Amino acid sequence: MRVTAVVVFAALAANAGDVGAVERFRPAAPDYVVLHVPARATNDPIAVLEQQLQFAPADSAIVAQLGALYVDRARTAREPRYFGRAEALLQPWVERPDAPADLLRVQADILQNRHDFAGAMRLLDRAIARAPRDAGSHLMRASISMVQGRAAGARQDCVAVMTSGQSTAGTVCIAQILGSTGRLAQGETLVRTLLDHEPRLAPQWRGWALGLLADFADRRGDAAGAERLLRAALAATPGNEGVRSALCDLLIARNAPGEALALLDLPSPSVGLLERRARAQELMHDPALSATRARIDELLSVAARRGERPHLREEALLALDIARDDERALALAKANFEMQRETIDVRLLARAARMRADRAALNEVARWIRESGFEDRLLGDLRS
Amino acid sequence: MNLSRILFAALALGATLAVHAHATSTSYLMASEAERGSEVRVRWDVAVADVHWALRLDQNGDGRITWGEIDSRREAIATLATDHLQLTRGGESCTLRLEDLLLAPHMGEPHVSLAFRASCARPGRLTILASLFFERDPSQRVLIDVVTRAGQFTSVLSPTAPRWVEPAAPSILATFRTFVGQGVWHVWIGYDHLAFLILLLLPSVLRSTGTGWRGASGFREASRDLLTIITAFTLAHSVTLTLAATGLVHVPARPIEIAIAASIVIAGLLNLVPGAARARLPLAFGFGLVHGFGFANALAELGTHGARLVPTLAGFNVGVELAQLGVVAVALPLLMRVRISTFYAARFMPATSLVAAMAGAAWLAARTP
Repeated sequence: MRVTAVVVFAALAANAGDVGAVERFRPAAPDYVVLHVPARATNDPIAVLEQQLQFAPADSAIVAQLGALYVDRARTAREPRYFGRAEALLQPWVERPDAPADLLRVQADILQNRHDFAGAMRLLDRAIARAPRDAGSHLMRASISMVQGRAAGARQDCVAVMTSGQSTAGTVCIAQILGSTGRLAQGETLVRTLLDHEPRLAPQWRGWALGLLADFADRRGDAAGAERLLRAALAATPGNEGVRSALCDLLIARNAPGEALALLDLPSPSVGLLERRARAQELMHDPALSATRARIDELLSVAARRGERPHLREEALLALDIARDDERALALAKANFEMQRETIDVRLLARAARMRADRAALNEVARWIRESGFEDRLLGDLRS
Repeated sequence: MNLSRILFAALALGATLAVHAHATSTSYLMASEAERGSEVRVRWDVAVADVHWALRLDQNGDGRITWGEIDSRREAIATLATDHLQLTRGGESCTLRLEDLLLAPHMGEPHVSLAFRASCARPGRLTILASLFFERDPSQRVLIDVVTRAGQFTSVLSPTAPRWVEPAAPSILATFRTFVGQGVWHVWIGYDHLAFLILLLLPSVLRSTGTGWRGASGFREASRDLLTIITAFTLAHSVTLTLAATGLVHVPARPIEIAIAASIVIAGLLNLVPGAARARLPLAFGFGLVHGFGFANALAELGTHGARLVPTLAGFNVGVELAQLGVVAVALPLLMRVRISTFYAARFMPATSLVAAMAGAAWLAARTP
C-alpha cells in the first residue's frame, strides 16, 4: 500500500551507494569534455622512471623512487589512485625480508594515509632497523606517535631526526613534543627562534612551523593570534588541508562563516572540507546545505560499503553540529579518540561528553590530559 | 632520492592526516536476473580516470578526454571490462554482450556506464567475478548490487575476495517466518487497514434499536457479532490475496487504493446510522475482498522476487491475521467494558467513526487522480 511504498522507497534511498540510483546520460556532442587529465609530457619524472623500471625491473632503488613519486603525486594532484598505484608497485617488495628502508617508508606512508597506523608503525620499525639514521622514517614514526597522543614516545625519534643533520625538521619535531607534554611555552619559543633565524625556510617547513605555532596560540586562548598564524601557514602551503580546516574551524567559531565558505570552494572537496562547509552553511541558513549534506552522505556511504571508516572525526562533528544527535556524536568521538588525539579530537570528545553529561568519558579525557601534560585553556577545568 | 621530499611526505601527516579527496578507485556493478529465461542484465560503472590509465583515452594528449574519444574506443573498453568479468549460473559461464555505453557520475567523478546483456543457459545460483584493475591497484573495490530470483543482495569485491556467490535460498520455514513478520508489520504501519478494522469493531458490541443503540447483553452475544464480522473480513481478504499473489487475478494498485479509502468513508458513515447495522456483514466481506488486493500489492512491493510462493503467501497471511487478532484482543475487553455506557453509544462511537470517515475522505481525495 501507500505506506509500504514509502517505507520501501526510504529503504532504497538510504542505500545511497546503490548504482541504480545514478542517472546515466549520453553527451550530445563528441567534443563534450568528460575529464581533464594531465597533458602528456615528455619530461614527466614519473614517465621517465616508469621507463627506466621497464629496463631494470629488479632495481629496488628505482621502485622506491617511483613509489615515492606516486605518493607525492597522489597528494599534490589530489588523486588517490596514485596511492593504489604505488601500493601495487611496492607490495611484492615489501614482503621480502631484505626490502630496503626507502621502500618500506614509502609503503608506511601509504598505510598511514588510510589510517592504518599499526601497519605503518610495523613497517617503520623495520625500516629503522635496516637504516637507523633514516631521518624520514624517524620523522614519520614521531608524527604517528604524536597524532595518537603518545608524544613522550616520539622523543627518541625527534632526536634521531636532529642528529641525522635535519636540524629544522628535528627542531619543529621537538617543539611539538614540548607543546604536548606540559611545556607549551618552551615549544613556542623554540619554533619562534627557528623562524627568526631562518627567514628563508622552504615553504613546506615554514607552513608546518606556523601551523604548529597556531595550535599553540589557540591552546593558550589566543584565537586572534592563531587565526593570523594559520593564514600565514595557508599562504605558505595552500595545499595543506589540515591548516585550511583548522582556519575554517576558527572562523566558524568566531561566527564568520562567510569567510570560511570562501576558503572552502575547492574542486572535489574531501569529507573534512565538506563538513566545514556544512557547518558554515548551517550558520548562514544557506539552502545549499542540503546539497552539501547529500554529498557527504554519498562519500560516507561508499566508504562504508568499501569497509572503510576514515572519517570518524568528521562524522562526529557532523552528528554534533548538524544532525544534533549527541548520543551518536559521543560514540563517534570516543572511537575517534582511540585513533587520533590532536587538539581538535580532544576537544571534540570533551564537548560531546559534556553534552551527554558522560562522566566516564570526561574522566578519560581528564586522565589523558593529566598523564600527558597536554595544555589547553578550553579544557583547563578538566585538569584538576 | 630527494630528502626534503621524503620529509615533506612525513610532514603531510604531522600537520594533518591526509584524507582522500574522493573515495579511492571504486566501480559499481549492478546485475539483475530476469524472472524467467536465460537473461541477466549487468551494468558496470567504471571511473573514466581508471579506464584512461589502462587504455590512454586521451588520444591526442591534449589533457582533455572527450566523449568522442571514449565513444570511439567502445569495443576496447568493453573488452577491458569483459576480460575482468565472469558471470556463471548453475556452474556454467554466461556469455556477455555489450548493449550500450553511457556516462554516469558517481561522487562527482565521471564513470563510463557499460550495459551488458548476459545469457546464462543453465538455471541455478549466480556467481560474479569482477577483478578490473585489481592487479594494478590494491585499493580498488567493486560495489555490487544484485537482484536474483532469490532476492536482493549487496556486497563488495576486493583483490583478496573478487568473487560473489549467490547465497543458498532460504528454507521454507525461514521464508515463512520472515513473511509472518512482514504481515504483522504491514498491518501495523498500514493505517488504512487499521482504520477499517477499528470501524468494524466499534459498533460490534452494540445492538440497533432502530433509531439508536443499546449495549449487547452478554459477553457471548457481544463477541459473537464481532467474531462473525472479523471472520467475514478475513475470509474475503485471504481469497483475494491468494488470487492476486498467485497471479490468477491482477488488479492495478491505484483503483484498489481508492476503493480502500472509500471503504473507510462508507464504514464510518454507516456507523452513524443504527438502522444500517445489518449492512455491516456484507460490507466487511465485500471490502475484505478489496483489502486483500491491497495486501497483495504490499506483498509484491516487498520484493518477493523468486521467493517460494507458498511459504511467502501463507506467512504473510498468517502475519496479517495475527496482527488483526492482536487488535481484537486489545479492543474487545475495552469495548465490553464501555458497551453499556450511553456516552460510548451516543457520543464516542459516532464521533470516532465520523473522524475516521473524514480521514478516509481525505485519503480518497489524495488518491484520486
